[in-house]
Order: sequence, then structure tokens, then C-alpha cells
Amino acid sequence: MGPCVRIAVGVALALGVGRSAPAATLEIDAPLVFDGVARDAAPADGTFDSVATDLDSGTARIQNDGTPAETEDRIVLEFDLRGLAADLGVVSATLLLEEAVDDGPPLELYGAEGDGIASASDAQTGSLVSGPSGSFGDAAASTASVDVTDRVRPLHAAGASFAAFVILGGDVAGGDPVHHYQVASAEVGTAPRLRVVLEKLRKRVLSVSNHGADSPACGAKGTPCRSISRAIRNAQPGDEILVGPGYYGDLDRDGSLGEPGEEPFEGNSGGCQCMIHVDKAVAIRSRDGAAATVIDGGGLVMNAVVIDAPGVELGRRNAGFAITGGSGTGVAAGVSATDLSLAGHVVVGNGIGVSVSGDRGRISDNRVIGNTLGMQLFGTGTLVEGNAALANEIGLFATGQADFTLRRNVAIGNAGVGFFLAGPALRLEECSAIGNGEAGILVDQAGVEIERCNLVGNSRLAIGTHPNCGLLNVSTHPSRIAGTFFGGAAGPGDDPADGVCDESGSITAVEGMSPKPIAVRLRTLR
Amino acid sequence: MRALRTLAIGLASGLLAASAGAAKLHVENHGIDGPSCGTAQAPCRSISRGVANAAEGDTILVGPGFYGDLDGDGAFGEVGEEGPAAASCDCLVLVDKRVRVLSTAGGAATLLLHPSTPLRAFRLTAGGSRVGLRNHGFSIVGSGGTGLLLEGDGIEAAGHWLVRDTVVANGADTGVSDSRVFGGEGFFAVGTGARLLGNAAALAEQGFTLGLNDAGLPKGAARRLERSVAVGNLVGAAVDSDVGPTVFERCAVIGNALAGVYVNVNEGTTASRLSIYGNGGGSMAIPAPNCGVAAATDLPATRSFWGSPGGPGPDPADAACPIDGHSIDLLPVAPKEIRVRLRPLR
Repeated sequence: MGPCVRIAVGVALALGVGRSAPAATLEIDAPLVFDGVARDAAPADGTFDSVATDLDSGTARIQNDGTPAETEDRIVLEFDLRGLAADLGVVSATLLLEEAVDDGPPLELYGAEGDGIASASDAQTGSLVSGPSGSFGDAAASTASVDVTDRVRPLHAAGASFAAFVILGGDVAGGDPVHHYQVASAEVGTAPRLRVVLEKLRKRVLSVSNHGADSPACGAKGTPCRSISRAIRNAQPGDEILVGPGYYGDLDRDGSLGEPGEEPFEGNSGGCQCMIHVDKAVAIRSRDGAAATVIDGGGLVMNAVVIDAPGVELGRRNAGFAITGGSGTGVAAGVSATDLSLAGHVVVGNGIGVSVSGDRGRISDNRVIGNTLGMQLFGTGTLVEGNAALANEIGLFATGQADFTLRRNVAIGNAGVGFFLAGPALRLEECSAIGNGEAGILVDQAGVEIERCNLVGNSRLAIGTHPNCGLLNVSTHPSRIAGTFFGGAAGPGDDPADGVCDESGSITAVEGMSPKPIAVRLRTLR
Repeated sequence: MRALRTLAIGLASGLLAASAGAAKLHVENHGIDGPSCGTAQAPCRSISRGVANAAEGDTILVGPGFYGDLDGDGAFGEVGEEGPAAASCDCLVLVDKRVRVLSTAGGAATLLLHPSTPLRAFRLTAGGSRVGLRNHGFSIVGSGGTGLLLEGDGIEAAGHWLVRDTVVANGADTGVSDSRVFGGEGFFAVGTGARLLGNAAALAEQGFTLGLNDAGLPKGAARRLERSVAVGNLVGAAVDSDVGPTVFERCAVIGNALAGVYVNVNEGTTASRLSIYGNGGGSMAIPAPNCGVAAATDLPATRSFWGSPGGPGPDPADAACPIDGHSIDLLPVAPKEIRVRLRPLR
């Protein structure tokens, strides 16, 4: 018997600029399937291998490794929501689990009061997604999983069924318990079922325009806000902010922020020392791209934009901003800004162009030009892809701790180093480091894997004791560079080729160099 | 449909191909300058040497990387560097023959660093020459000079990213398209018949200027600004002097500090299908705050969106500001925004 799938799409609720509300429900009601076959009862040994529920647009699955649940099973709910994300505009997800003990009703929320949990919502919510809010528009980030072993195991051992609820698009914590769906009582204890309810809370789009006016209620298409900051204040997590072309900052150029319609200055005393403070999981994008949409700190603020919430999306390719005038940083994303997506920006003339400290960031398709430091990147699980750093003092500085990849980036004509790599888990693929004043790539502190890069014309300023270095390794850990073009068919060498320079104690393995340039093709940007 | 696509691809690739009899010369950061450099196997190092070795009609293909004063010592024309004629042309790269200079990887990967001297980065004096195509232009990062000076007639430039630098189209019938200026003085269409198409100017002093703020320029074919965007400049777009026919057509002029469009004494200017709003917020606004268009001449500015369906007005709309008793013909106004979509650029 294959899974029975029922999809019910509810009536979309009309939305103003008020609170987000449920707009549509997808309900998946499928029998638990063990080893591909539906069983009539929970297995005595507590083993269940796979519970699969498929939708054309997504899947939900319980799986374990086949050993008894009471002992060492790890039970994971996995959701692949790519289709749902595209169809429904899903932006966030939260998990609820609900048990149905076979003693009969009433259904109880698992881990409710009496289990040391203050409230049902506290008990049931758990961050389902590795990139919670704002990341579901991106297919690659639309899968999610959560380890529910500790919650499911006792249910299963008791012969109970349970329901898993995935609430999409809103912040369930503190919200209404609107997501309770009963497990059909006839099936309790006889036909364990997985019931997953996917409910979309309709995402709102708030508008910002140079012909808007700020107010506590602005943001509707007909009454856009004037400032991005006001739209952020009026938004809720999961909302999207669409910014029209024009200028955002000190509108009258009088050297003072915060006048009507202007972005504010969030001050030095406990504030973010910034102009635009993104403190919730919203997606902010420009309508017409960076060439037509300017965020200008005017040199009046330390940071033009500060992000310190998880799941923020700032810009997309062809929907970013020109960001300038941050005396400290153009865009500063702190450690709490996990799962950040930052794309499509032209970042010009700041201290640091872009600084990202949170984990699992995706930094793509940006141009950082003429900053003191183009990009400064920390964190783990980060992907830095398709960016260009030109004419900065230093191009890109990265110090990832784990699973940190830089792919298809270029660093050209920076006065100092092109790529400054100082972390134990960095991987550099398909890059161009060309014509930088000092080394094209500087490896420090830890070994690095480098593949398919162009290292040409670097160390042109002949500073220090290492002339002509495409790659300079000052780490005491071994590094490896493979498939790279050094400016000549013979590999690293004297001008016009670049060399590989190992400082005393450093070892760089050069493998399989490329006799011709590697094509590193950046995507176009509006 | 497939046939059309094939045709389009063919046309696009043809733009990078040299015409019959013309040669392609290669410039790369791993090249070496010499009297015979320029083949794919022995590319030149400098664009200037590529131009010197080229014949009329040739195409110079410039690889990704850095071009300019390589060792940063302030002297130009040393081995592999641009600026061999810097003293005489006051420029880094002089294009004095009818050639095309194109980057292979686009502006995001091809940088000409332009210090304060010499005054110009690219100076094109040969009629019919070209620098850049969309996706085959340069990044020109300067410090307040002129990044592109197009002096000959019929010169074309496209696909450039300029930071703190200026574009001046001096020659007759010159064209600049699909380029971006951040900072600097903006774009100038000085020559008769000069066209600025699909460009964006941000944070410049005057985003787009048709003519020059000097009297005495010849009148002739209209200087034109079309399908372009001016945001966050001091003045978005302007005609500063009596230069005859000038046309502003389908542009977005938004969030400029002093005024959106400023037309001085010129009588031949027409404007239509503009989006004009958020301008004139500056304390030095001309002639008064909130002016989308300020004109010291009679000016038709029709079919335009002023930030409100009803046309010009107080904030959040922009006002029309005639100066010294002149009039601005507004009707009909556009009740909805005129959207200007720039083409993406590599």
C-alpha cells in the first residue's frame, strides 16, 4: 500500500499589513511505512526504518538505522521543501510533535505540562531547519532535518502514534495553537501513522520607495515606507521587504540621520553603531538592482548595515544594493546572523566592505571595490561564491573553522593580498588572484586546499622578502594547490609566471598545474 | 524560436570576432610587451602596447587582471605598464587608431586603476573606435579624473564600471551604453548627437549632463539620455547651457539631493516618460526643496511619473519648479511609475 497523500489547500486569508495569518494548509496524512510496507501495528522491537511521505512538491520522512529504538536509534525527520518553497513562498519552518497514546484520547501534546515544560508551544517547537527563516526561496537551502529521537522513542515504545507538524512561514513560538490536528483515533495503536501538516503562514511583502512616507503602518504597496529601517520595524519574521530604486540614507545631506524619511542612526551607546539594523529574519531585496538602489552611510556611521538575526536575506543577484559610506563596515553580520544570504551588492568605499561572522552564510555575486578590506569572513559551513574584490587594500580575508568553501571568486588589483586564508577548514576552488600588490593567496595559520585557480601578476609591488608570489604559505601546516595556472605553461616560476613561496617550515604541494588559464566566469549583475 | 536563439548567439559571438581581414591581438597579465606581441601564444602585457601593435580595424582582447602602474611608483610607461604616452596625452591608454578594445571577462575581472594623474584613464581619439561591450568592459577605479574620454567622432563605449571617475563623450555621434558610474562627476554627452543609453549614475556630482556647463558648444543633432538611471547624485540630470536640442527619454531620476532634472537656459530640451521622485531633499536644493524638475526655460516634461498618480505636488511627490517665469508642460502625467530596467552587466 502506497502512502496516502491528501493535500488540502485552504482558503487564502486576506491580509493587510497586520499580523501574519494562516493562509493555506497542506496536509499530508500517510500511514507509517516500515521497510516500504505499511504495518498494522508498531513493531514490537521498536524498529522502524523509514516513514516516507511524498508530495510532488516535498517529502517528509522518518528514518532510523534499523536498530531498536529503545537503544541507539537516531530518529530524524527530514523535509525536502523545495517545491513547496517555490509554490508557496515558504520562508521558515518550525516543528511540532504531538502524541496519541493508545490508551485513547484525549491527545496530548508531547512534553506538555508535567514534563517540566512550561507551555505547549515551548515543548513542541524546535528549529527544524538548518537555515530557518528566509532561506526557503533558495532551493539548495530548502531541505531540513531535526533529530527527534528523544521525543519519538518513548512514544514509539509505548505503542503510540504521533503526529509531526511542520509549520511553515511564521514564528510559532508564542503564537496561537492553531496547528493542532488530531491523529485519527481509529488508527491509534493499530495503524501508526505519520501525519505531517504543512501549513503556510502567508508571507507579507512590505514596500519601500523614494516616494513613500514612514509611519507605523506603512509598507503596503499603495502606501510604501520611505526608509528601509521603518519597513524592518513594521515587518515580522518571514516577511519580505521590497525596496524601490533611489537613495537611502541622509536625504538632505545635512550630516544628520534620523530626520523624516531618513534612515536612523542607532547609536553608539548599546546600539549597533549603524544606520540600517536588520534584527529579524526578513528578506530584503531591491526591485531594480544595485545600480539603481543606493544605501549610503555618508561616513556618518560606523556601519551602514548591521545584521544580527538568523535567517536574514539581504539582496539577491540583480536585486541587491550599492552600499557605501560605512566608515567601519558596509555590511556587518555578527555571529548571531547565521544562515545569512547576501547577494547582488556593489559595495564601494567603506572601511571593511562586507564582514560576516555567523555560520552557514551564503555570500554570492557581490562586487567589493575600493574598500580598505573587501570581505572579512568567519564562521563554519559558509559558501562564498561568485564574488569580485577589486582595488581594495586586501581582497578577501577568510578564517573558517569547518566546511568553508570559496568558489569562483576573483581578487584583482588589490594593493595587498588577494585572498588571505587563515583557517583550518578552508577550500578555495576556481579562483582568480591576479595583479595584486602582494601575494595572490596568502595562507596563514592552517593548511588550505586550493584547486583550479589563476595566479598571475601578483606581488607586483615587490614588498617584503617574497617577490613574485602567486601563493605565499606562512603556515606551518601543509597546503595543497592543484590544477592551477601560474601564468606559464611550465607552472610556477619567474615572471611573467607567478611562484609558490613557502616560508621556512611551510610545505605546499603543487599538483597537476594547468598550462592555460582557468575560466572563472562571474555572473552578470544589474 | 531555436533559430532565433541561434541567430542571437551568432550575433553575440560575432561581436567579439574580428571582421574579415582584421586581426585579434591578445593582452594578458602573463604577457610580455614587445614590438610583435599580441598573438594568443605571446600576448602583450599592456593594453597600450596592444593598441600600438594593432592596425586599423583590429580588435584587442584584454584578459582579466590589473592594468596601470604595476609597481605603484607613480611613474608610467615602465615595462608592462600603461601610460607610455602619459606625458603627451595625459592618459593611461591612448586609442589613436580605429580599433576595438574589449575585455574577455568583463569589468568585474578587468581593472584599470586610475590615479589622480594622468587625468584620463582611456582616451580615444580615433573616430569609429570602441572600448568595451556589455559584458566585455572594464572596471576603472579612479580618484576624480576622467575614466573615459571619447574625443573622436562615432566612438562607442559600453559595459564599464567606473568608481570615482567620469565619462566624457566629446565627439560627435559618440555613444556610451550599459555602464555604471559610482561617484565622480557622472556622464557628459558633449558632442552633437552624443547618446547615453542604459547607463546608471549614482553618488556623482551631476549624474548626466547633456552638453557642458560652458557656452559655445555647437548645436546640431540632439544629445540624448535614454533608458538610464540617476540616483543619489547631487543633481540627477542636467542641461547647463544653450546647446540646442537635447532629449531626456524614459529615465529614472530618483533621490538626487539638489534636483532631479535641471535645465538651464537651453530652449531645445524635451523630457518625457521619466520617473521623477524623491529629489530635492538637500538643504541647498535648487531652486527650492522638492524639485523633481527645475527649468530656467520653457520645458515639456510630459508622460512622466512624479511620485504620485496626480502628478507633481508636495512630498512624497516631487514638484515641477519653473524658474524666472518660464513654464513646464506636464500633461499628460503618468499615473504609474515608468520603470527603467537596466541590463545586467558582467
